[in-house]
Amino acid sequence: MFFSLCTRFLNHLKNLYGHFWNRSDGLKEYYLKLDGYYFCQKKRLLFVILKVRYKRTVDIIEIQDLLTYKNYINELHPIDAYIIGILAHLDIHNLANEKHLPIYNAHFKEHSCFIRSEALLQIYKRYKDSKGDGITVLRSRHTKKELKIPTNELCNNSDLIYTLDPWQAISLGYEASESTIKHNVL
Amino acid sequence: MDCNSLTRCTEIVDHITTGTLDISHILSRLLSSQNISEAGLGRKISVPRATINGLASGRTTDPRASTLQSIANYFKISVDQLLGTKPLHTDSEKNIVTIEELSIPIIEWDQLHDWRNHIEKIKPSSHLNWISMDPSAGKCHFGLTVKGDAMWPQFQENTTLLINCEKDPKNRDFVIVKIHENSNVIFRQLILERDYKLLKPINSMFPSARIEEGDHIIGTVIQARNNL
Repeated sequence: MFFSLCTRFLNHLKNLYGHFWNRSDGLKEYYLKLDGYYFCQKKRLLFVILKVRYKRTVDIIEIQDLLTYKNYINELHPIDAYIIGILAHLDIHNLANEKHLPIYNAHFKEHSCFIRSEALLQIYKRYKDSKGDGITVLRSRHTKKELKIPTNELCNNSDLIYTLDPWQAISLGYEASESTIKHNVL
Repeated sequence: MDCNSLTRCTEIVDHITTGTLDISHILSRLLSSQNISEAGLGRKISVPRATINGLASGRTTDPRASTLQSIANYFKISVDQLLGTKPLHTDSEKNIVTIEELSIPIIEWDQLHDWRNHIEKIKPSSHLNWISMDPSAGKCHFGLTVKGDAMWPQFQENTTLLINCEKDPKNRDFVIVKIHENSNVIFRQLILERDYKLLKPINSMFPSARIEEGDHIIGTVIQARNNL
């Protein structure tokens, strides 16, 4: 009786909160995903919808609050983190509203798989070249080789973003958004 | 690292420089990097300027093989690279950034008030914190390590900033400013509005401030370096 109750309770947790453990093939997936985002006209705030992967459990959080929940960010795919970085940057500059929200479609997100892997690359340097275009230098964690790439090209390359950790992906999102704003302002 | 992770790593490394750019982006970038106009390229490879323009603007979606080959030959790349199906920089040596021996001292925030005198007194033997930088990145006077999270997450704590004190700060540049009122030195983004200058933090938990009379912009960030 007690064992049955425990099993039911654990199953209930599992159904609600998803898999905490590895898949049958030994791999682990990112636990949360960015399911959507919207600008609330009533509250004048930008909200993001986080979903437990493969479950219906969702949480709707104001974007600046989300950045303070470090555990949430750690459970997000770098592409999701990158998009959140862009949105958060637009939000702090009061550019996120119902008319100007950027749209990231499923195609961009489907390109990379959702298996959690160790970050292979790190953002090592960021600067502007003589023409004012952003340049990012990525460094391999293992081989210490460096890859110099224009920031806008890096932002179009979801494979490269996938190799970053979520915090660096957020930082890249800020950089991408900043670059876009600067381009439009100047 | 387990076997599966290694397999995944190999897959990612295979894709690592596979850009998603199409021929128009690549051709525009090549023209820009070689500082040659569409007409100039057309003359060099005997292809009409309109054809080059069609490719660079993305209007031409099915170019002739001979045109592609001529362009690829001129830029010394393969047709695959021109089409974007292979990375533009396949030569791994090109991707390795060599750092010239130019060392910049990293100073502390409390030394910023009198940074010129402080830097003049620095001797290689007595100062421990130095950072190497590529001289082509521009003139740099000193390095500074980010403290606190006012500029987080774009600039995370312990990021090293390379500062140029002679560069005129422009709108949306990241600057180091000495506040006259309390003699604090802060790192913020400079926003130029119509009649005033605003110092904006990245982290929304921190307030924005206007640059008042007496406040002094010490320098502009020209490079951010993560301490790996």
